[in-house]
Amino acid sequence: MRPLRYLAFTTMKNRLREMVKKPARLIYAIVLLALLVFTMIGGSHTGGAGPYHSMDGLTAIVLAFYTAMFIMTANAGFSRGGNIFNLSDATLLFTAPVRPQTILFYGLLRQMGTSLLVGFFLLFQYPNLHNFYNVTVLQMIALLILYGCTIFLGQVVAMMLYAFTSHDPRRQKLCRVVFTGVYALCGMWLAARCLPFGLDDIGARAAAQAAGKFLYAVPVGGWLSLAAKGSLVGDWGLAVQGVGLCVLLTAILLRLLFRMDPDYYEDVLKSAEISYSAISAKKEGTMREALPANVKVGRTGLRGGWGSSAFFRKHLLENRRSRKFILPANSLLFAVITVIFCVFTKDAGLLPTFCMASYLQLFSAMTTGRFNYELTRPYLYLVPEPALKKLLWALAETMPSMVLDALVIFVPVGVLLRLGPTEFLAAVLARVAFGIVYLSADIAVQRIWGGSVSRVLVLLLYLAISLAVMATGVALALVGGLIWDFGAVGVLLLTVVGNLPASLLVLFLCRNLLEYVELSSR
Amino acid sequence: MREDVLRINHVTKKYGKTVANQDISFFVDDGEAAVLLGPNGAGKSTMIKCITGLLRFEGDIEICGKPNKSLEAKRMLGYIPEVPAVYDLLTVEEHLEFIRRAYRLEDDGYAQRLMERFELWDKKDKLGKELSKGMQQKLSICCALLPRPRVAVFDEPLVGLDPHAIRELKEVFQELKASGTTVLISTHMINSVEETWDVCHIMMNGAFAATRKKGESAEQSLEELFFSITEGGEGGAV
Repeated sequence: MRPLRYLAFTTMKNRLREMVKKPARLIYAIVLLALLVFTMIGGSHTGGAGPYHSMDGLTAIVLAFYTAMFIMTANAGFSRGGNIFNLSDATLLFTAPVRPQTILFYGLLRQMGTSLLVGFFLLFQYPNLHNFYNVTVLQMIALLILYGCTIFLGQVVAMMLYAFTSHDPRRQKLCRVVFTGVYALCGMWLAARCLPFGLDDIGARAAAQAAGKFLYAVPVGGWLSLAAKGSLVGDWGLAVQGVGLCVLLTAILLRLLFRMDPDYYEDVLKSAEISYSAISAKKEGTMREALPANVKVGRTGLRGGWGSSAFFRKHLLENRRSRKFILPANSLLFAVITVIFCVFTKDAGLLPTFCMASYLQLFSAMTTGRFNYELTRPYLYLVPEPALKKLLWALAETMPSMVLDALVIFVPVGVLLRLGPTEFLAAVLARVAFGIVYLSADIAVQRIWGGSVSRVLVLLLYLAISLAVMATGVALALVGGLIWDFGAVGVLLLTVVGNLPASLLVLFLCRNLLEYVELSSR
Repeated sequence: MREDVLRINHVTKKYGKTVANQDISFFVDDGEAAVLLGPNGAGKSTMIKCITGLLRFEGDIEICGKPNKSLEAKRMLGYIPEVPAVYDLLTVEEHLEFIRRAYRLEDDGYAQRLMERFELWDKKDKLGKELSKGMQQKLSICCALLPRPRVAVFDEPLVGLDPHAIRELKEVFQELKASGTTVLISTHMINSVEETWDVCHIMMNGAFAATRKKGESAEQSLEELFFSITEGGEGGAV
């Protein structure tokens, strides 16, 4: 264990040193911590007088979130295993005279740390949770730790699934059916218990069902939500049961992993190599996307496009072949969260749900589709067409996704809130306009910093630019809503009136992004 | 009379305080093959990327008398990068269809002729990701040549290729020259351009350390000159 302890501490020490050497990261960390402290203290002193929402509602939200994150993480086991180890581990640790069990334990502990770090942003939800559910700081930290456990267990299950199924396609298919079937059954059971009684009070009914015995039936997500519920309502028996079930599962999985295939190195090596080649390809500016093992070519030919629009036709063709669902997984997850939010805030009308959806969209919209891949190839710069025209056509492929994203959210929201066609269309239009705001902010970040700045700094700048671009739309909506009382439709359309021209102006100002490759690959 | 198809005039490229190219000037005649020869980090690829308009720089670069950033200049330039510029999800034939459409070229059968010349016709329905590095390089060349450029610029074209592919690529250089296309190649492999070059610029530390034209009588061979410069000898302009 001594060499691994040395490795862990030296890595940590070097990271801290790196932070001092690169003050931007240190400043970012300090700003983030200050923001967090401000949020925590500010959140503790606002509201707090009640009446509070039922803890069942919060338990249901936690259940949906934990379960979705667990499924997404564990699902990687069907394609490439977990990413507990990197290629340096595989080449240096696996060949060293250290017991495989010890290395696995080290990898899992390190993964736990990473998961907690990723979940750090959850803490910024504290003011909302404190105001609506009277959640304390300690309970918030408990929710964060349980989130870390969710990702950790997701990785362990992914590794187990990979080791168990990677050599046998039939076994893989069977396991996939069982894995998906368990969660589909849980969802169907919950729907069957809630839907027959109509849409009135569906939120309260779903929360009551989800936060009861149902938690025991949902593997991992449900058990950790049981622990979360225990910490939220002060029932430590529940917390122990939830954690106990997860500890038991982890012990069984690790035991099985050692017994079934003590030489897990081969499986891990493959996934480490895949991750490494993806990282190094990105460093070399030859970003590659994860593609299905067998790409079905199907009908060939671009069948259209002339000049800049050839990029759009090419992107459509590539999308068909990559067999990717038109919406990324995080957009679907945020859509589910928005609909759940709508269930609980039904009485407040459309605007709170729209605000929540736009807030989440800020994080799900940071993908410009094939545009980022295109920036790593020379053709977008070399093709003799005006830069702005190329930029717009290269981004056009994101439009169908934006519209679908809006429909996925506002069709169920429309049913829940019984929206009329005008309100529905206004919501979809405003959602797409916000999508264009975030897209233009993403392009502006590329224009200013290119691709070589740390991800956190990129996120900060992206947030700042997004807020600046949407300022006009939000200001117009506030004026329209508060002073002239335009109603939901008017407010939403005013955001469109403000957001669209501002976004297009940003895109126009960034048009020379495609004139110099160094702007996107510094 | 030959005209300067490619003219580079006092080009300097800096990355922050690092000078990658220092006040470089040269020109390449119509149908001539010029080589930028130098060790890794000499500034060859930076020069190539400045010429193709991918980098900002101080100075002037003209292609057939047009500024290299203009749309007219872009139409006359073919660029073959070091890493083959191939799309994973497009078939070989679709790559050429895409370039044809993007450059607004009518289908006159030239794409098929290029595929046949580069032995890609039987692989026209294969996806980019299914091709070997050599095949990807050939496809990248086809894409660059489809718009019938006046200037073809190759950036380290032989890195990672097997001996068979290297021999084929050398033949391509000769064919391009024979067809009147101006060729500019950056490389650190002297042997790879022996039969091709008309003029050779040896680069060190972002500047030209020597320039030699083919047929010029000199005391040192190109290889001797290269090593005398890159290994700290006196070298100097020839």
